[in-house]
Amino acid sequence: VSAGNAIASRPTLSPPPIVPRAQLIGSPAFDAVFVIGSPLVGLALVLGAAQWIAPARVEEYVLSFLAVGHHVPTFLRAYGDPDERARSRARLTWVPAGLVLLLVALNAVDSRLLALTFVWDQYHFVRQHYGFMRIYDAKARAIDPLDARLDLWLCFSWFIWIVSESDLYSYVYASHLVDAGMLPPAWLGTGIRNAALAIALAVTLRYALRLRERRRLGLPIAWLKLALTATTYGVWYVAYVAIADFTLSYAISSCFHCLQYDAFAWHYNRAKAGALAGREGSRVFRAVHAPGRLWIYVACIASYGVLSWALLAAAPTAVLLVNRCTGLLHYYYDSFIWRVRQPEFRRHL
Amino acid sequence: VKLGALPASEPLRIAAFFLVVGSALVLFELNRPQPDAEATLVFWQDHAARHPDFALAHSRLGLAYQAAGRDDLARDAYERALALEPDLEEAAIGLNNALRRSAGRAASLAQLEAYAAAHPDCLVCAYNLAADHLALGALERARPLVERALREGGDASSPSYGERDLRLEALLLAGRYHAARGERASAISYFEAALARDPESRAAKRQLAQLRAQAPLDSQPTDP
Repeated sequence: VSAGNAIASRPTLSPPPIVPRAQLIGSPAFDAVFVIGSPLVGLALVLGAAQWIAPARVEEYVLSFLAVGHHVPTFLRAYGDPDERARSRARLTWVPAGLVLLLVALNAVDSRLLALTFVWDQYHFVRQHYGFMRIYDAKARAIDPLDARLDLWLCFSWFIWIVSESDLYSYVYASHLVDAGMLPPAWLGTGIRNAALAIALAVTLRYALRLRERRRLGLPIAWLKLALTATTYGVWYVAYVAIADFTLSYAISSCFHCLQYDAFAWHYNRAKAGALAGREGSRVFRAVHAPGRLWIYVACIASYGVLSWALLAAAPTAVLLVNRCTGLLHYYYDSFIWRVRQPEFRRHL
Repeated sequence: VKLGALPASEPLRIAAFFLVVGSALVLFELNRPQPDAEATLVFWQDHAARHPDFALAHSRLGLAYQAAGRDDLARDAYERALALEPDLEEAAIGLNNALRRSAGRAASLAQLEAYAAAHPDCLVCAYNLAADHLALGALERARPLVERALREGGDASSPSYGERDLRLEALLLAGRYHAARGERASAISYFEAALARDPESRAAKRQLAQLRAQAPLDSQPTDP
């Protein structure tokens, strides 16, 4: 889930308070399990599975069945929702065509360059979290461009610090750059780590002052986004820095990212499908998201993951290219299909 | 560039974007800096010093030492990586390569056989062991490993292995196995298959030239 800028100008009067129930995305249980508590659920699932299965196998299953599968809801929304299709027709038609050509060419020239798309993957993780923060702000009517900017700085500064503290991710970034022929200066790792920490601490202080100011002015505060930030960044720190077995790091992070995404997309698309009753060109979208059809939605996600996993041994290059292509489209489409500033999107939240 | 000069319609803007990205990648590829072994070594030394308890960093440092021709230091780095993470395949293979160059095939064979016994899934181990057995003339011990390489070998990519075409390497191993057994027809057929897979393969060309310089074919090709 991604979001653009905040959607309204700075409020001048204290709006009426929103009851806590109305600040949730779904039911209390939905938000607790699939959004705010999702990082903890992901952590428990992956660590629990690692007690029974080899960590490398856990990582393989998470990547195959969850990470690859969660591209599907993006495509269901982008191509299934007639409003989204009409809004973004050119992008949904020409970008995939260009991307396929680019990926095939890159793979033929030097597939190591493809590994650099990992940076976008990590950026996408943070943008999803930021998107949920925007949604909780919108739900609590705590919308303000200054707070949106502070959220963005908070998200990225702490994430970059966690990544630079992480043995695994420092290594992943360093080796991808070196393999692609771009040897970074030796001071870069330490420099980024120190700068990110300094910025994160400064932003956190400013953030705390801003919260106090909002409270003093009687402006609403989206406490749920703060709770989500605490669980997300806490689990990211555990997964990336504290856990010694690096095969589980990405699995934990990917597991909760996908749980959040799949659950939110289902929740949102179901509301949207209800509003599309009788609309031409929405039959597939409505069929997948109709009440009582959760199994079809889950089957769509699972089938792409299982199919990729089953065909990987027979045609590794082709499967990885297809997965990479859907992954990049997923990152790109997410940057505009879930925009909180889009009034049509907010109507179905 | 003035904004007004940019293509107005969205399909044209998308096409322009891919054109720019494609051109940038072509330019990068044409001017890609050649890796400097010493600078790369300094980078990984610094990286391993900042992440002293991370096995992959030491394994990668071992590779950088090897590239700089310092096999003894490479061995130390790989051994440190294996002490931190005994299952780390990259480090086991790297140590094997460093031992082969600095301590001989017998030492490298003993090290990798111990690792492969504990890690039967290690496919690259089968390749290295097969190559060592063939070099030492232990053909019967090489045979099951070559068969496994032919059966399972595909493409492999790892920072420590580089881009390896394991299918090509399996064909070369099979050719060497038959050549060592004096089965010239089979050996030639495998080297020809290797050459068909990679027309630039110098190993396949060299082996084929040697075999063809010998007496005429005396048998039909056979599978190992």
